Amino acid sequence: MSLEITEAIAGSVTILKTKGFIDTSTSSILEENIKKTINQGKVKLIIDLADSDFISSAGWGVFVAYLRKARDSGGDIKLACMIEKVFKVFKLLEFDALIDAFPTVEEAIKSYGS
Amino acid sequence: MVHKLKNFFKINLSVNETYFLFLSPSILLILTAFFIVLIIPLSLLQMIIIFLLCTSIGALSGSFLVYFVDRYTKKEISGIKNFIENRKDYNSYLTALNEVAGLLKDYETKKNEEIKNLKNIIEKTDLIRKKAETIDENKEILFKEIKLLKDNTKENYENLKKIMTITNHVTGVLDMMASDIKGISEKINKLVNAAKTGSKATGSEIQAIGNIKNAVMESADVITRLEETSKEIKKLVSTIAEITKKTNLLSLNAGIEAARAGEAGRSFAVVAQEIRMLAETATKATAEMTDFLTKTEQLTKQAINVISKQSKIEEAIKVVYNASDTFLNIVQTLSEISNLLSDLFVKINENKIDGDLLKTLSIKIKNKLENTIVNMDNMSEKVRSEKDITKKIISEVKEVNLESEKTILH
Repeated sequence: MSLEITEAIAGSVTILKTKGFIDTSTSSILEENIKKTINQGKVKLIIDLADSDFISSAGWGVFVAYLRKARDSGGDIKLACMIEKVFKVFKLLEFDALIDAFPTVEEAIKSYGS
Repeated sequence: MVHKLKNFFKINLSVNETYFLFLSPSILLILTAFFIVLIIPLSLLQMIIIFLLCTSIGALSGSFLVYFVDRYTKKEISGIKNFIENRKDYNSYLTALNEVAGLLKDYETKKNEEIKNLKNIIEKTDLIRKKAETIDENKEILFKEIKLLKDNTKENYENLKKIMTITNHVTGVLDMMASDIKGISEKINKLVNAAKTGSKATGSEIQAIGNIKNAVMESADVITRLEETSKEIKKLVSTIAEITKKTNLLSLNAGIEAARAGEAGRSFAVVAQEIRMLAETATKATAEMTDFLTKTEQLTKQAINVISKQSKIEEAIKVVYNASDTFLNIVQTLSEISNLLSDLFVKINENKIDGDLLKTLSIKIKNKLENTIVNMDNMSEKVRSEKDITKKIISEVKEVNLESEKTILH
Protein backbone atom coordinates (compact mmCIF):
# COMPACT_ATOMS: atom_id res chain seq x y z
CA MET A 1 0.00 0.00 0.00
CA SER A 2 1.30 3.40 -0.87
CA LEU A 3 0.15 6.83 0.08
CA GLU A 4 0.19 9.73 -2.34
CA ILE A 5 -0.04 13.29 -1.08
CA THR A 6 -0.64 16.31 -3.24
CA GLU A 7 -0.46 19.89 -2.06
CA ALA A 8 -2.73 22.75 -3.02
CA ILE A 9 -2.85 26.31 -1.83
CA ALA A 10 -5.98 28.36 -1.18
CA GLY A 11 -4.85 31.77 0.07
CA SER A 12 -3.15 31.25 3.41
CA VAL A 13 -4.49 27.72 3.68
CA THR A 14 -2.55 24.68 2.52
CA ILE A 15 -4.55 21.64 1.47
CA LEU A 16 -2.88 18.26 1.60
CA LYS A 17 -4.90 15.69 -0.32
CA THR A 18 -4.19 12.10 0.60
CA LYS A 19 -4.77 9.12 -1.65
CA GLY A 20 -4.47 5.63 -0.16
CA PHE A 21 -4.35 3.94 3.22
CA ILE A 22 -2.81 5.79 6.18
CA ASP A 23 -1.38 3.08 8.42
CA THR A 24 1.86 2.32 10.25
CA SER A 25 3.67 1.72 6.98
CA THR A 26 2.53 4.95 5.29
CA SER A 27 1.99 7.35 8.20
CA SER A 28 5.63 8.45 7.96
CA ILE A 29 4.90 9.86 4.48
CA LEU A 30 2.05 11.92 5.93
CA GLU A 31 4.22 12.95 8.87
CA GLU A 32 7.04 14.11 6.59
CA ASN A 33 4.64 16.17 4.49
CA ILE A 34 2.96 17.82 7.50
CA LYS A 35 6.31 18.48 9.19
CA LYS A 36 7.77 19.97 6.03
CA THR A 37 4.68 22.14 5.44
CA ILE A 38 4.65 23.47 9.02
CA ASN A 39 8.40 24.08 8.97
CA GLN A 40 7.85 26.14 5.81
CA GLY A 41 5.54 28.34 7.88
CA LYS A 42 2.37 27.04 6.24
CA VAL A 43 0.57 26.37 9.47
CA LYS A 44 -3.05 26.55 8.32
CA LEU A 45 -3.54 23.04 7.09
CA ILE A 46 -6.48 21.12 5.68
CA ILE A 47 -6.12 17.38 5.16
CA ASP A 48 -8.48 16.20 2.39
CA LEU A 49 -9.17 12.54 3.23
CA ALA A 50 -11.74 11.83 0.49
CA ASP A 51 -9.53 9.21 -1.17
CA SER A 52 -8.36 7.51 2.02
CA ASP A 53 -10.45 4.49 2.91
CA PHE A 54 -8.58 3.67 6.09
CA ILE A 55 -6.72 5.61 8.78
CA SER A 56 -5.00 3.62 11.49
CA SER A 57 -3.98 4.80 14.95
CA ALA A 58 -0.59 5.75 13.51
CA GLY A 59 -2.34 8.12 11.09
CA TRP A 60 -4.47 9.66 13.82
CA GLY A 61 -1.30 9.92 15.95
CA VAL A 62 0.36 12.02 13.23
CA PHE A 63 -2.53 14.50 13.19
CA VAL A 64 -2.47 14.74 16.99
CA ALA A 65 1.35 15.06 17.16
CA TYR A 66 1.44 18.06 14.80
CA LEU A 67 -1.80 19.67 15.93
CA ARG A 68 -0.20 21.39 18.92
CA LYS A 69 2.76 22.53 16.88
CA ALA A 70 0.47 24.02 14.22
CA ARG A 71 -1.74 25.69 16.84
CA ASP A 72 1.30 27.02 18.77
CA SER A 73 2.39 28.62 15.51
CA GLY A 74 -1.01 30.30 15.05
CA GLY A 75 -2.37 27.74 12.64
CA ASP A 76 -4.40 24.55 12.84
CA ILE A 77 -4.91 21.15 11.27
CA LYS A 78 -8.46 20.53 9.99
CA LEU A 79 -9.79 17.37 8.40
CA ALA A 80 -12.17 17.30 5.44
CA CYS A 81 -14.17 14.87 3.29
CA MET A 82 -13.84 11.82 5.53
CA ILE A 83 -15.69 8.79 4.23
CA GLU A 84 -18.30 7.29 6.57
CA LYS A 85 -16.11 4.39 7.72
CA VAL A 86 -13.24 6.72 8.65
CA PHE A 87 -15.59 9.24 10.23
CA LYS A 88 -17.02 6.48 12.47
CA VAL A 89 -13.54 5.77 13.87
CA PHE A 90 -12.94 9.52 14.22
CA LYS A 91 -16.11 9.77 16.33
CA LEU A 92 -15.31 6.57 18.21
CA LEU A 93 -11.96 7.97 19.30
CA GLU A 94 -13.77 11.19 20.22
CA PHE A 95 -11.31 13.20 18.17
CA ASP A 96 -14.20 15.43 17.14
CA ALA A 97 -13.60 17.26 20.42
CA LEU A 98 -9.95 17.68 19.49
CA ILE A 99 -9.75 18.21 15.73
CA ASP A 100 -12.20 20.15 13.54
CA ALA A 101 -13.71 18.09 10.73
CA PHE A 102 -15.76 19.27 7.74
CA PRO A 103 -17.74 17.48 5.05
CA THR A 104 -16.09 19.53 2.28
CA VAL A 105 -12.79 21.28 1.69
CA GLU A 106 -14.66 24.53 0.92
CA GLU A 107 -16.28 24.53 4.36
CA ALA A 108 -12.90 23.83 5.98
CA ILE A 109 -11.38 26.77 4.09
CA LYS A 110 -14.30 29.01 5.15
CA SER A 111 -13.73 28.01 8.79
CA TYR A 112 -10.23 29.54 8.57
CA GLY A 113 -11.77 32.72 7.19
CA SER A 114 -14.15 33.07 10.09
CA MET B 1 -143.47 -26.70 -90.49
CA VAL B 2 -140.01 -28.19 -90.25
CA HIS B 3 -139.54 -26.26 -87.06
CA LYS B 4 -142.72 -27.68 -85.72
CA LEU B 5 -141.76 -31.16 -86.73
CA LYS B 6 -138.32 -30.59 -85.31
CA ASN B 7 -139.80 -29.45 -82.07
CA PHE B 8 -142.41 -32.17 -82.14
CA PHE B 9 -139.88 -34.88 -82.59
CA LYS B 10 -137.39 -33.03 -80.32
CA ILE B 11 -134.76 -33.07 -82.93
CA ASN B 12 -131.65 -31.42 -81.83
CA LEU B 13 -130.27 -31.03 -85.33
CA SER B 14 -130.35 -27.66 -87.01
CA VAL B 15 -132.92 -26.88 -89.75
CA ASN B 16 -130.34 -27.10 -92.49
CA GLU B 17 -128.99 -30.31 -91.11
CA THR B 18 -132.53 -31.68 -90.93
CA TYR B 19 -133.28 -30.62 -94.52
CA PHE B 20 -130.07 -32.05 -95.73
CA LEU B 21 -130.58 -35.34 -93.99
CA PHE B 22 -134.28 -35.61 -94.87
CA LEU B 23 -133.95 -34.57 -98.46
CA SER B 24 -130.72 -36.32 -99.33
CA PRO B 25 -132.21 -39.89 -99.52
CA SER B 26 -135.43 -38.61 -101.14
CA ILE B 27 -133.49 -36.81 -103.86
CA LEU B 28 -131.22 -39.79 -104.25
CA LEU B 29 -134.19 -42.13 -104.65
CA ILE B 30 -136.02 -39.74 -106.99
CA LEU B 31 -132.86 -39.61 -109.04
CA THR B 32 -132.71 -43.39 -108.79
CA ALA B 33 -136.36 -43.50 -110.03
CA PHE B 34 -135.44 -41.23 -112.89
CA PHE B 35 -132.55 -43.41 -113.65
CA ILE B 36 -134.73 -46.51 -113.54
CA VAL B 37 -137.40 -44.85 -115.70
CA LEU B 38 -134.80 -43.85 -118.13
CA ILE B 39 -133.23 -47.27 -118.28
CA ILE B 40 -136.19 -49.41 -118.02
CA PRO B 41 -139.12 -48.68 -120.29
CA LEU B 42 -142.11 -48.48 -117.96
CA SER B 43 -145.68 -47.49 -118.06
CA LEU B 44 -146.86 -44.21 -116.61
CA LEU B 45 -148.47 -45.94 -113.80
CA GLN B 46 -145.43 -47.93 -113.19
CA MET B 47 -143.51 -44.80 -113.37
CA ILE B 48 -145.85 -43.05 -111.00
CA ILE B 49 -145.71 -45.95 -108.68
CA ILE B 50 -141.96 -46.08 -108.90
CA PHE B 51 -141.80 -42.33 -108.27
CA LEU B 52 -144.23 -42.53 -105.43
CA LEU B 53 -142.46 -45.51 -104.03
CA CYS B 54 -139.07 -43.92 -104.35
CA THR B 55 -140.37 -40.67 -102.94
CA SER B 56 -141.99 -42.51 -100.08
CA ILE B 57 -138.94 -44.60 -99.47
CA GLY B 58 -136.87 -41.45 -99.80
CA ALA B 59 -139.04 -39.58 -97.35
CA LEU B 60 -139.04 -42.52 -95.04
CA SER B 61 -135.35 -43.00 -95.39
CA GLY B 62 -134.89 -39.27 -94.85
CA SER B 63 -137.03 -39.46 -91.76
CA PHE B 64 -135.07 -42.46 -90.52
CA LEU B 65 -131.82 -40.80 -91.38
CA VAL B 66 -132.90 -37.67 -89.55
CA TYR B 67 -134.07 -39.84 -86.71
CA PHE B 68 -130.86 -41.92 -86.55
CA VAL B 69 -128.56 -39.00 -87.08
CA ASP B 70 -130.45 -37.05 -84.48
CA ARG B 71 -130.36 -40.03 -82.22
CA TYR B 72 -126.71 -40.58 -82.90
CA THR B 73 -126.04 -36.93 -82.45
CA LYS B 74 -127.95 -36.96 -79.23
CA LYS B 75 -125.96 -39.98 -78.19
CA GLU B 76 -122.78 -38.28 -79.23
CA ILE B 77 -123.79 -35.13 -77.45
CA SER B 78 -124.74 -37.19 -74.50
CA GLY B 79 -121.37 -38.92 -74.81
CA ILE B 80 -119.66 -35.60 -75.22
CA LYS B 81 -121.67 -34.32 -72.36
CA ASN B 82 -120.69 -37.39 -70.44
CA PHE B 83 -117.20 -36.92 -71.70
CA ILE B 84 -117.34 -33.34 -70.62
CA GLU B 85 -118.78 -34.43 -67.35
CA ASN B 86 -116.24 -37.17 -67.18
CA ARG B 87 -113.65 -34.64 -68.22
CA LYS B 88 -114.58 -32.61 -65.20
CA ASP B 89 -114.15 -35.69 -63.05
CA TYR B 90 -110.87 -36.39 -64.75
CA ASN B 91 -109.75 -32.89 -64.04
CA SER B 92 -110.78 -33.41 -60.45
CA TYR B 93 -109.00 -36.70 -60.56
CA LEU B 94 -106.01 -35.04 -62.15
CA THR B 95 -106.19 -32.33 -59.61
CA ALA B 96 -106.48 -34.96 -56.96
CA LEU B 97 -103.66 -36.85 -58.60
CA ASN B 98 -101.65 -33.66 -58.76
CA GLU B 99 -102.46 -33.03 -55.19
CA VAL B 100 -101.51 -36.58 -54.40
CA ALA B 101 -98.40 -36.10 -56.50
CA GLY B 102 -97.77 -32.85 -54.68
CA LEU B 103 -98.39 -34.58 -51.41
CA LEU B 104 -96.16 -37.39 -52.53
CA LYS B 105 -93.57 -34.85 -53.56
CA ASP B 106 -93.98 -33.09 -50.25
CA TYR B 107 -93.87 -36.46 -48.60
CA GLU B 108 -90.74 -37.24 -50.60
CA THR B 109 -89.24 -33.90 -49.72
CA LYS B 110 -90.26 -34.30 -46.16
CA LYS B 111 -89.06 -37.84 -46.23
CA ASN B 112 -85.76 -36.66 -47.67
CA GLU B 113 -85.69 -33.96 -45.08
CA GLU B 114 -86.58 -36.53 -42.49
CA ILE B 115 -83.79 -38.76 -43.81
CA LYS B 116 -81.50 -35.79 -43.88
CA ASN B 117 -82.61 -34.91 -40.39
CA LEU B 118 -82.25 -38.49 -39.35
CA LYS B 119 -78.80 -38.55 -40.89
CA ASN B 120 -78.06 -35.33 -39.08
CA ILE B 121 -79.49 -36.87 -35.96
CA ILE B 122 -77.35 -39.94 -36.55
CA GLU B 123 -74.34 -37.74 -37.13
CA LYS B 124 -75.20 -35.67 -34.12
CA THR B 125 -76.01 -38.63 -31.98
CA ASP B 126 -72.81 -40.16 -33.26
CA LEU B 127 -71.03 -36.99 -32.18
CA ILE B 128 -72.92 -37.15 -28.92
CA ARG B 129 -71.86 -40.76 -28.58
CA LYS B 130 -68.27 -39.87 -29.38
CA LYS B 131 -68.41 -36.93 -27.01
CA ALA B 132 -70.07 -39.09 -24.43
CA GLU B 133 -67.28 -41.62 -24.97
CA THR B 134 -64.74 -38.80 -24.66
CA ILE B 135 -66.58 -37.62 -21.55
CA ASP B 136 -66.51 -41.18 -20.32
CA GLU B 137 -62.77 -41.35 -20.99
CA ASN B 138 -62.32 -37.91 -19.43
CA LYS B 139 -64.41 -38.99 -16.50
CA GLU B 140 -62.15 -42.00 -16.18
CA ILE B 141 -59.11 -39.70 -16.31
CA LEU B 142 -60.84 -37.29 -13.96
CA PHE B 143 -61.63 -40.16 -11.67
CA LYS B 144 -57.99 -41.22 -11.70
CA GLU B 145 -56.87 -37.58 -11.33
CA ILE B 146 -59.22 -37.09 -8.40
CA LYS B 147 -57.87 -40.28 -6.88
CA LEU B 148 -54.31 -39.06 -7.46
CA LEU B 149 -55.22 -35.62 -6.15
CA LYS B 150 -56.83 -37.21 -3.17
CA ASP B 151 -53.69 -39.28 -2.56
CA ASN B 152 -51.57 -36.14 -2.99
CA THR B 153 -53.88 -34.18 -0.73
CA LYS B 154 -53.62 -36.92 1.87
CA GLU B 155 -49.84 -36.85 1.48
CA ASN B 156 -49.90 -33.04 1.74
CA TYR B 157 -52.13 -33.36 4.76
CA GLU B 158 -49.63 -35.73 6.38
CA ASN B 159 -46.74 -33.46 5.34
CA LEU B 160 -48.58 -30.45 6.69
CA LYS B 161 -48.98 -32.23 9.97
CA LYS B 162 -45.24 -32.87 9.97
CA ILE B 163 -44.63 -29.22 9.01
CA MET B 164 -46.88 -28.15 11.84
CA THR B 165 -44.84 -30.26 14.23
CA ILE B 166 -41.62 -28.82 12.78
CA THR B 167 -43.11 -25.29 12.86
CA ASN B 168 -43.99 -25.75 16.51
CA HIS B 169 -40.49 -26.99 17.16
CA VAL B 170 -38.96 -24.14 15.11
CA THR B 171 -41.16 -21.58 16.87
CA GLY B 172 -39.99 -22.99 20.20
CA VAL B 173 -36.38 -22.88 19.02
CA LEU B 174 -36.92 -19.34 17.73
CA ASP B 175 -38.29 -18.36 21.11
CA MET B 176 -35.22 -19.80 22.76
CA MET B 177 -32.96 -18.19 20.17
CA ALA B 178 -34.70 -14.84 20.58
CA SER B 179 -34.24 -15.09 24.33
CA ASP B 180 -30.58 -16.17 23.97
CA ILE B 181 -29.87 -13.50 21.37
CA LYS B 182 -31.49 -10.88 23.56
CA GLY B 183 -29.20 -11.96 26.41
CA ILE B 184 -26.14 -12.04 24.13
CA SER B 185 -27.13 -8.72 22.60
CA GLU B 186 -27.41 -7.12 26.02
CA LYS B 187 -23.99 -8.49 26.97
CA ILE B 188 -22.51 -7.39 23.65
CA ASN B 189 -24.08 -3.95 24.12
CA LYS B 190 -22.43 -3.72 27.51
CA LEU B 191 -19.19 -4.78 25.86
CA VAL B 192 -19.71 -2.23 23.08
CA ASN B 193 -20.35 0.48 25.63
CA ALA B 194 -17.26 -0.58 27.54
CA ALA B 195 -15.36 -0.74 24.28
CA LYS B 196 -16.56 2.74 23.37
CA THR B 197 -15.23 3.99 26.67
CA GLY B 198 -12.08 2.11 25.83
CA SER B 199 -12.09 3.80 22.42
CA LYS B 200 -12.12 7.16 24.13
CA ALA B 201 -9.16 5.95 26.19
CA THR B 202 -7.54 4.73 22.98
CA GLY B 203 -8.05 8.19 21.52
CA SER B 204 -6.42 9.69 24.59
CA GLU B 205 -3.66 7.12 24.30
CA ILE B 206 -3.05 7.98 20.67
CA GLN B 207 -3.12 11.63 21.65
CA ALA B 208 -0.66 11.00 24.48
CA ILE B 209 1.61 8.95 22.25
CA GLY B 210 1.43 11.69 19.65
CA ASN B 211 2.40 14.19 22.30
CA ILE B 212 5.18 11.90 23.54
CA LYS B 213 6.42 11.54 20.02
CA ASN B 214 6.27 15.29 19.62
CA ALA B 215 8.07 15.72 22.94
CA VAL B 216 10.70 13.18 21.95
CA MET B 217 11.23 14.98 18.67
CA GLU B 218 11.50 18.31 20.48
CA SER B 219 13.79 16.75 23.11
CA ALA B 220 16.01 15.46 20.34
CA ASP B 221 16.23 18.98 18.97
CA VAL B 222 16.96 20.40 22.42
CA ILE B 223 19.60 17.78 23.21
CA THR B 224 21.23 18.33 19.85
CA ARG B 225 21.28 22.05 20.56
CA LEU B 226 22.56 21.35 24.13
CA GLU B 227 25.41 19.28 22.73
CA GLU B 228 26.31 22.08 20.40
CA THR B 229 26.10 24.64 23.27
CA SER B 230 28.22 22.39 25.55
CA LYS B 231 30.85 22.20 22.88
CA GLU B 232 30.86 25.95 22.57
CA ILE B 233 31.02 26.39 26.38
CA LYS B 234 33.88 23.90 26.51
CA LYS B 235 35.71 25.96 23.95
CA LEU B 236 35.08 29.07 26.05
CA VAL B 237 36.22 27.28 29.25
CA SER B 238 39.38 26.16 27.47
CA THR B 239 39.99 29.78 26.48
CA ILE B 240 39.31 30.89 30.08
CA ALA B 241 41.67 28.19 31.38
CA GLU B 242 44.35 29.36 28.98
CA ILE B 243 43.81 32.94 30.06
CA THR B 244 43.88 31.86 33.76
CA LYS B 245 47.12 29.96 33.14
CA LYS B 246 48.65 32.99 31.49
CA THR B 247 47.29 35.23 34.27
CA ASN B 248 48.84 32.94 36.91
CA LEU B 249 52.19 33.10 35.14
CA LEU B 250 51.76 36.81 34.83
CA SER B 251 51.07 37.15 38.58
CA LEU B 252 54.10 35.02 39.40
CA ASN B 253 56.24 37.25 37.22
CA ALA B 254 54.60 40.29 38.79
CA GLY B 255 55.41 38.92 42.30
CA ILE B 256 59.05 38.30 41.36
CA GLU B 257 59.29 41.76 39.94
CA ALA B 258 57.62 43.27 43.04
CA ALA B 259 60.11 41.46 45.33
CA ARG B 260 63.00 42.78 43.34
CA ALA B 261 61.54 46.25 43.62
CA GLY B 262 61.53 45.97 47.40
CA GLU B 263 59.55 48.51 49.40
CA ALA B 264 58.39 50.23 46.25
CA GLY B 265 56.93 47.10 44.83
CA ARG B 266 55.15 46.07 48.08
CA SER B 267 51.71 47.28 46.99
CA PHE B 268 52.27 45.85 43.55
CA ALA B 269 53.19 42.54 45.19
CA VAL B 270 49.84 42.61 47.01
CA VAL B 271 48.04 43.14 43.63
CA ALA B 272 50.12 40.38 42.09
CA GLN B 273 49.22 38.13 45.02
CA GLU B 274 45.51 38.93 44.51
CA ILE B 275 45.78 38.28 40.79
CA ARG B 276 47.51 34.96 41.51
CA MET B 277 44.80 34.05 43.99
CA LEU B 278 42.15 35.02 41.37
CA ALA B 279 43.96 32.97 38.79
CA GLU B 280 44.08 30.04 41.14
CA THR B 281 40.36 30.46 41.88
CA ALA B 282 39.67 30.80 38.15
CA THR B 283 41.76 27.71 37.46
CA LYS B 284 39.82 25.87 40.12
CA ALA B 285 36.46 27.13 38.67
CA THR B 286 37.63 26.27 35.15
CA ALA B 287 38.55 22.81 36.33
CA GLU B 288 35.16 22.47 37.96
CA MET B 289 33.45 23.81 34.81
CA THR B 290 35.49 21.44 32.66
CA ASP B 291 34.50 18.66 34.95
CA PHE B 292 30.84 19.80 34.80
CA LEU B 293 31.02 20.15 31.02
CA THR B 294 32.63 16.73 30.73
CA LYS B 295 29.78 15.31 32.79
CA THR B 296 27.23 17.29 30.71
CA GLU B 297 28.93 16.02 27.60
CA GLN B 298 28.68 12.49 28.91
CA LEU B 299 24.99 13.02 29.75
CA THR B 300 24.39 14.61 26.36
CA LYS B 301 26.11 11.66 24.76
CA GLN B 302 23.91 9.37 26.79
CA ALA B 303 20.84 11.43 25.74
CA ILE B 304 22.02 11.27 22.14
CA ASN B 305 22.43 7.55 22.57
CA VAL B 306 18.89 7.40 23.90
CA ILE B 307 17.57 9.55 21.04
CA SER B 308 19.58 7.48 18.61
CA LYS B 309 17.39 4.69 19.88
CA GLN B 310 14.33 6.72 18.75
CA SER B 311 13.54 4.02 16.21
CA LYS B 312 13.05 1.70 19.14
CA ILE B 313 10.66 4.24 20.67
CA GLU B 314 8.87 4.43 17.35
CA GLU B 315 8.69 0.69 17.27
CA ALA B 316 7.21 0.78 20.76
CA ILE B 317 4.77 3.47 19.57
CA LYS B 318 3.94 1.29 16.59
CA VAL B 319 3.22 -1.58 18.95
CA VAL B 320 0.89 0.72 20.89
CA TYR B 321 -0.70 1.91 17.65
CA ASN B 322 -1.13 -1.68 16.49
CA ALA B 323 -2.71 -2.52 19.83
CA SER B 324 -5.00 0.51 19.39
CA ASP B 325 -5.87 -0.59 15.87
CA THR B 326 -6.59 -4.08 17.09
CA PHE B 327 -8.72 -2.64 19.84
CA LEU B 328 -10.52 -0.37 17.38
CA ASN B 329 -11.10 -3.35 15.11
CA ILE B 330 -12.51 -5.25 18.07
CA VAL B 331 -14.76 -2.30 18.92
CA GLN B 332 -15.94 -1.98 15.34
CA THR B 333 -16.44 -5.72 15.04
CA LEU B 334 -18.35 -5.71 18.33
CA SER B 335 -20.50 -2.83 17.04
CA GLU B 336 -21.14 -4.76 13.84
CA ILE B 337 -21.91 -7.91 15.84
CA SER B 338 -24.23 -5.86 18.03
CA ASN B 339 -25.99 -4.47 14.93
CA LEU B 340 -26.16 -7.94 13.39
CA LEU B 341 -27.56 -9.34 16.62
CA SER B 342 -30.13 -6.54 16.73
CA ASP B 343 -31.08 -7.31 13.12
CA LEU B 344 -31.10 -11.01 13.91
CA PHE B 345 -33.27 -10.39 16.93
CA VAL B 346 -35.68 -8.35 14.82
CA LYS B 347 -35.66 -11.02 12.11
CA ILE B 348 -36.13 -13.84 14.61
CA ASN B 349 -39.05 -11.92 16.08
CA GLU B 350 -40.41 -11.41 12.59
CA ASN B 351 -39.87 -15.11 11.92
CA LYS B 352 -41.54 -15.87 15.22
CA ILE B 353 -44.50 -13.78 14.12
CA ASP B 354 -44.31 -15.52 10.73
CA GLY B 355 -44.07 -18.83 12.57
CA ASP B 356 -47.19 -18.00 14.58
CA LEU B 357 -48.92 -16.91 11.40
CA LEU B 358 -47.68 -20.06 9.69
CA LYS B 359 -49.06 -22.08 12.57
CA THR B 360 -52.48 -20.41 12.24
CA LEU B 361 -52.41 -20.80 8.48
CA SER B 362 -51.30 -24.43 8.80
CA ILE B 363 -54.29 -25.16 11.03
CA LYS B 364 -56.58 -23.46 8.50
CA ILE B 365 -54.96 -25.36 5.62
CA LYS B 366 -55.21 -28.60 7.62
CA ASN B 367 -58.94 -28.04 8.09
CA LYS B 368 -59.34 -27.14 4.43
CA LEU B 369 -57.41 -30.23 3.38
CA GLU B 370 -59.65 -32.37 5.54
CA ASN B 371 -62.68 -30.79 3.86
CA THR B 372 -61.02 -31.22 0.47
CA ILE B 373 -60.47 -34.93 1.10
CA VAL B 374 -64.17 -35.32 2.02
CA ASN B 375 -65.16 -33.25 -1.04
CA MET B 376 -62.95 -35.41 -3.22
CA ASP B 377 -64.65 -38.54 -1.95
CA ASN B 378 -68.01 -36.97 -2.83
CA MET B 379 -66.63 -35.86 -6.17
CA SER B 380 -65.37 -39.39 -6.88
CA GLU B 381 -68.81 -40.76 -6.15
CA LYS B 382 -70.40 -38.16 -8.42
CA VAL B 383 -67.93 -38.86 -11.20
CA ARG B 384 -68.60 -42.57 -10.85
CA SER B 385 -72.34 -41.89 -11.00
CA GLU B 386 -71.91 -39.54 -13.98
CA LYS B 387 -69.78 -42.20 -15.63
CA ASP B 388 -72.65 -44.69 -15.34
CA ILE B 389 -75.03 -42.09 -16.76
CA THR B 390 -72.64 -41.43 -19.62
CA LYS B 391 -72.44 -45.14 -20.37
CA LYS B 392 -76.23 -45.30 -20.45
CA ILE B 393 -76.29 -42.27 -22.76
CA ILE B 394 -73.80 -43.98 -25.08
CA SER B 395 -75.87 -47.15 -25.10
CA GLU B 396 -79.09 -45.20 -25.76
CA VAL B 397 -77.50 -43.12 -28.45
CA LYS B 398 -76.28 -46.31 -30.13
CA GLU B 399 -79.80 -47.63 -30.06
CA VAL B 400 -81.18 -44.38 -31.48
CA ASN B 401 -78.60 -44.55 -34.23
CA LEU B 402 -79.54 -48.10 -35.10
CA GLU B 403 -83.25 -47.18 -35.17
CA SER B 404 -82.56 -44.16 -37.32
CA GLU B 405 -80.45 -46.20 -39.74
CA LYS B 406 -83.23 -48.74 -39.98
CA THR B 407 -85.75 -45.96 -40.68
CA ILE B 408 -83.53 -44.55 -43.42
CA LEU B 409 -83.15 -47.95 -45.05
CA HIS B 410 -86.93 -48.40 -45.03
